[in-house]
Amino acid sequence: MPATDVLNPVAGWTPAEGDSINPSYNFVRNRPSTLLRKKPIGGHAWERETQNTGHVFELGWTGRTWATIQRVKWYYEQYERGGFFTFKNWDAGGREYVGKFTSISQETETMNARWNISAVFEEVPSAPMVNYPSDWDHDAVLLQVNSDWSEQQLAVKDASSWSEATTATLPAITLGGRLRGSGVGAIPLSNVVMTNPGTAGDWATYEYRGYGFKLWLSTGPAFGKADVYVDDVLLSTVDCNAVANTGPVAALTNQNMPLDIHRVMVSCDGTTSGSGTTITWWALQVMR
Amino acid sequence: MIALPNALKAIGGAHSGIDPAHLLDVLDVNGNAYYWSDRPVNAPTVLSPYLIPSTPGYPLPVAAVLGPGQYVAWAFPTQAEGEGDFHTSIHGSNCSGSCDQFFDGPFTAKNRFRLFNFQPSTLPLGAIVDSCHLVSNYSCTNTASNDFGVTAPGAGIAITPTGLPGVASSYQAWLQNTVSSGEISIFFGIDRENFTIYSTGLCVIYHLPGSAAVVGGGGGSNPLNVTPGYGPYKPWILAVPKITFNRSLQTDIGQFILQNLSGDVLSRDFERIMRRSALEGAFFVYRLWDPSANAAWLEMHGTFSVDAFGVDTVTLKGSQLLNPAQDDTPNEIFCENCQNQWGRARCGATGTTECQYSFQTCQVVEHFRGFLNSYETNYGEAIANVATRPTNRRRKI
Repeated sequence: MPATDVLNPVAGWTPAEGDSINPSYNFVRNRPSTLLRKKPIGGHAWERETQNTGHVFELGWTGRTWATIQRVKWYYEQYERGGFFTFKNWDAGGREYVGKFTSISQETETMNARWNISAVFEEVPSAPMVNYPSDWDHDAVLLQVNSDWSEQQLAVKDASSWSEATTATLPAITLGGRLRGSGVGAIPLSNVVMTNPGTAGDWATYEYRGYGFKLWLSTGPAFGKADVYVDDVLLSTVDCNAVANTGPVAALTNQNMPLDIHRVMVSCDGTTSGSGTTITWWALQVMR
Repeated sequence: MIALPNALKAIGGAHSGIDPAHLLDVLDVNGNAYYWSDRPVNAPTVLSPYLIPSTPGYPLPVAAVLGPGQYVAWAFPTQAEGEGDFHTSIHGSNCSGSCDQFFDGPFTAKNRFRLFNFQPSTLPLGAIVDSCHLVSNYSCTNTASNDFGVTAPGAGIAITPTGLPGVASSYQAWLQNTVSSGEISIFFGIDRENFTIYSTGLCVIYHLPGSAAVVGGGGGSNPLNVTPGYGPYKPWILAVPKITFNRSLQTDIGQFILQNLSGDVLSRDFERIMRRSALEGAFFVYRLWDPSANAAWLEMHGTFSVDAFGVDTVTLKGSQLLNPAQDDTPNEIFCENCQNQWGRARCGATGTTECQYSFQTCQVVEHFRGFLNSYETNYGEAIANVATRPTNRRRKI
């Protein structure tokens, strides 16, 4: 029942409540920072992801019918302990969030048969969803092998297994609503990659906080097969061999993943459908 | 007293507008060197890493002396072939230099074997190779000194650097620059009666641009035009202790707090440091460094003990080298009883009856280790030899 139980399945007015179950305007959607951050006197700050917490909504219903108040209170009571349900943010594209009310106010009657109530809805990690977030052009972020400070973020088996290189071809990719990469007028992206000659068992791993991902690997005649593991479970074996060098492509897309800290591991398979076995990791695009 | 450098005298304290930087050079017990600061600083280092072979028991090149900021990488052959009387084999596909090349009888002509397909370590991006040394573990029966050795180039046994898959570009550049003929010829073995090579490797010494090897003694000079602010010192220090320099045996102790967040998404940098080394007992040099003078106001030498690894910080407790609390001294006290154990070497007694550890019962009085509390009191009386005329010692200035 949980994920499929939607607090506000429709955007508008419903006759059963004589009201719209959607919260009133001015509600807040926030995402608390999940980073640890330390900064010396000089130089940049050092940061590390430590938590998998998600979005927090501060919702309010003002001047609503008793049926609406009852509905909100029921969702609080039903899922208060050990449960979760779905909330849809209709005015922001209808994106769904899975979570629960972690606090609720006392309802107050402000006029004849009209009540006010407010509640805090917190997204819970690891919960399955009916519709996972899918707006890759606006909500996803690109995590490249190096930080903008040129510090390696991609974890590899050992320092000698994967080496840093650059890719001559960059894909055209829309991030934050803007075209980036090699397209005309596009905003440039980093061309740094980590590459492995295809030694079977050599792995590279990126751990991230978010939902699904797109894995960007280079393809061409020199490239081979890679085993892709998600949270230590083999998801798929992708073949990066192609007739022509196309640069990094979204070799694997796995959208339907709940919010959590996930690990995507690419392990060189050592085999190929063509002539080369090299595996080159450009970026991981992560849904937030 | 150590005189301050003239540059510091010229600047004076706290007049330059540049706050002094905190520099920490650390040499752990395994010989790894780390350079930390509280801001990006391109200052000369004062500690250098030891030369560490990557293969246990591997002979070290005598000529390889590391300067500041220099590092070592190794390359090993994976294939060998012999001519004439040589019998060669390489152990495995990645043999770490282990091989058998032996000769069973006197050489009557030049015999050659080739070591090739070297598998080098991956050098860091941008590494510049400074020198390279061939290292070999061998034995032979003839002890003449002039017909076997390491030289290049020449005839005899050759190491051919061909077929280098996956070699870092700077490594290839080194080989090409050094080997004009395509071979490094190292060994002569004309008159040997018996000759065995156990292992062979190339010791590569390199540095990274911006390290002290480039900057030399002048932090601030930038001969290679490296990116400013990215010297050997990583800005990891969050806090340094207040150090009170005592003129007694009191030990200066303080806590250095460093960030524990950097690294890749799986491992923090400090995890790696602790995996491959031990900071407990590591030697450190702390300097309060004035960048505008390229000199240090204060310098402290000591050893570390690891206080705590926090979720985002590491605390290292630094104690100055002079630390009497760490001295191993006999557990003896200053009292009337002898502190020697009867009959042991320090006592020297050879009898059969144990003493009572008093001076009166001591059997070897010249070894008595106690305090004598009986004083002679029958000194003769005499007039004290003291001045009887008052002297005015005030001076007019």
